[in-house]
Amino acid sequence: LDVGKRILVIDDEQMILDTIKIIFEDMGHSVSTFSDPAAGVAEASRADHDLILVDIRMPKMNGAEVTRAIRSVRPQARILLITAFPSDPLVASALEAGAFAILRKPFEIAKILDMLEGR
Amino acid sequence: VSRPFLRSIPYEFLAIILGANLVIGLAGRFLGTAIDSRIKAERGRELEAIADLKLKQVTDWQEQRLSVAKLLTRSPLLLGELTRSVQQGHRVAGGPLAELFLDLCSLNGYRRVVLYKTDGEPVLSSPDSAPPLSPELLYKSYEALRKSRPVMSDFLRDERGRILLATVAPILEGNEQRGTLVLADDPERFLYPLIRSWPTGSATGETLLLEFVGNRAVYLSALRFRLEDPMDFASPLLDPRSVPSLLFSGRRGAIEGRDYRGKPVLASARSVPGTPWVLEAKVDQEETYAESRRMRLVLSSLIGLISVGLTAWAAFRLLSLSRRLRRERETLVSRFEFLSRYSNDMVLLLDENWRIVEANDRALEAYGRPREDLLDMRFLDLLEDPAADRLKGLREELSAKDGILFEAEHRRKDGTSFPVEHSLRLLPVEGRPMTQDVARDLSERRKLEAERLALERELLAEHKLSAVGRLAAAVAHDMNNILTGILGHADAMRMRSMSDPRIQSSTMRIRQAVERGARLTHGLLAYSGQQRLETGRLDFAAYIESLGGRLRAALEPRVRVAVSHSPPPLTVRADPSALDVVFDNLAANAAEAMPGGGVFSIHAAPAAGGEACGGGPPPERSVEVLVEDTGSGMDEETRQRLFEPFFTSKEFGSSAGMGLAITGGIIRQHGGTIDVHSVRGKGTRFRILLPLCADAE
Repeated sequence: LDVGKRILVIDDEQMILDTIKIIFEDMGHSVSTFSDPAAGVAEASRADHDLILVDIRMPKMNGAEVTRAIRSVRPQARILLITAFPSDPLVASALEAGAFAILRKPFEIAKILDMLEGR
Repeated sequence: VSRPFLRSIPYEFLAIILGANLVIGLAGRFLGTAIDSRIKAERGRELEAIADLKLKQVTDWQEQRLSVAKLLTRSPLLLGELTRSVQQGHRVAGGPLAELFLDLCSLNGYRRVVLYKTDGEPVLSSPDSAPPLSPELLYKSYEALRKSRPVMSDFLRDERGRILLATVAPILEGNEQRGTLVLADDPERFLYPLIRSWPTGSATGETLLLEFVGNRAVYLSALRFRLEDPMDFASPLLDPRSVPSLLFSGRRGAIEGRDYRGKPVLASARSVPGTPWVLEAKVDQEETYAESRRMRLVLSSLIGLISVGLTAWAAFRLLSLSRRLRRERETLVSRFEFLSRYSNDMVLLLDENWRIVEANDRALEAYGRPREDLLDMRFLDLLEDPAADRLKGLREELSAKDGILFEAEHRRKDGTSFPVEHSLRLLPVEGRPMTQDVARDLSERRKLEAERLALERELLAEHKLSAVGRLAAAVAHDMNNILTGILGHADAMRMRSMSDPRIQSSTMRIRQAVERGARLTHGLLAYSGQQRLETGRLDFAAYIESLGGRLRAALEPRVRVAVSHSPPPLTVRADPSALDVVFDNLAANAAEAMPGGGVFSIHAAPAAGGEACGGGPPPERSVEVLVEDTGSGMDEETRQRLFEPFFTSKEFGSSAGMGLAITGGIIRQHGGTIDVHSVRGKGTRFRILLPLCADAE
């Protein structure tokens, strides 16, 4: 099993952050979580991550803006969008900005693992 | 003639008029009888007078004849001459006596004057010679000699059969009987005309002389109505009602009986003194009746005139009464009309038998009947369900209360029915307990109510929709986060304990529950329109074929799935994953409605038009999708509320009652319509219309 991957999670929902952190750290990955999108973007530009999970609906900054900001610093960043709304108009602009996939909540951990291993 | 008029005729008045006419008629009849008897009496008196007059004339004539004879035989001068001639004993021709005899004949009207010897041998006769005395005259001459005065003979016939009346005078010299002088009269010369002459101008009046010989009445004078010569006709006294029979039995004075012709006559008779003769004056009863008839005619004309006058007066009174009634009625009607004609409600005036007396235009219009048709009907006839007991006690209730309000179904002439609200109120019209019915056609109100209800329902649904939408939007985000947490940890558990089958099973169930929760939020979002459809051109035929395969896998063998469609192309603009939700929901419901199995069928075909959705223009063409099952069906209330969110029934809505609400929402989002037809115990049919792509390539 491929371990030691760095995962960045940006979501305003603390429970999502906690869940992903616990599960993936348990698997041996390193997970950094940010409920503040701006702080998350700062972290992403500071360090390289194997997978960045970005929630689309967030106060202050939305997922598309976050994606654009990260991709402007790290064009190769693998950004996976997660959304609670299956048909969010922001999805299109976020995908345009460079996100490579979209994951609907509730999602299976296995899906993220697939994405993680897809690298 | 109208009913009110018939009712208003004062029958007592008519009876009085009839009675008056009857009295007049009876009086007329009585008067007629009185006139009859009066005329009869008058005629009787007239006949008596005529009889008396005739008798006097006849006796005067007799007197005169007898006195002539007396004068001739008492005169000494003449007596000497007569005696001498008799004593000479032979026939004398010429001489002064013969001259005298001739003068007597020509001046006094004798037919023949003859001097006889006492033995009956003629001595001197003028103007012609005479035979010896006949036995009757010989007898008369003895009588005259014995009585020493002239006597008159009965009617006799002479040797040549001519009728004569003779005055026989004795020729006496002291006590010596010398002979007789016979003065023979021709009755036709004087007596008969005298008898025949009638003093008044009567058509049937007649005077006659008769004599009873044995059991026969011999008529001595000529008769007005028979051709026989005098004395040649006799009538037997067989009929006791005949005048001769009555006379024979001694009746005199005014007599009613039958004459020789058998005709009823009125007669009066006198015996002629010194003779066996009866003088009878008679006239036909018919003639007297004719007179009384004339009188009666005059009388009855008079009575008729009075009666006609009276009746005409009565008729005039009745007419003016009816005119007054009509005027009153017209006034009433015009008042009623003024109040009711332009009323928006129907106004009926009912009499005490619930018969319609008046109706306004609105009522005629509402019932679709002409006025005369409606005015002949009873209130009950208007009701859809003419239960007679409905009106029972209604009048009592009416008089107890001020008015009654009730609703009833009414029937138009064409058989359709409509709801009516009645407001009944007693309305005494000219002392009659009429009822006024102000009736309101509720159809419009009912329609408006139904529309309002539908609108309310729609608004409510919309309200629910937007509320659910807001709720869904709020919940979905949080719920999905929560579910993500649950699912994530369940996954983690599963991955950590791959070898423990119980944990594997439990985490699988958690996953399923989470998936269901996710579907619910997804559905809520879809229903409320929060979720965007990902629509594109869709080959509907191909779509339902693959759908059929999927459903078969899920439902068969318990439920048979039949899918059919008209030949392609059937291209619609749709989101297939959303349509999946639609058909999955319908299939799930159908399967639940058919616990014992059945058929679930989907059929798609193009249809003309389609219903406008959300105020937009109706599509020109649609695909009609009929989704049918053979299940338990549903009742009307369920059917009506089927697409409401959170509506569940026993048969439907195993979940939160969102299935069909979501289905409806998705179809609406596609610009389509969905409705449902269901018969309990027979099954349910959904009809979905989806707009066809106009430019089907």
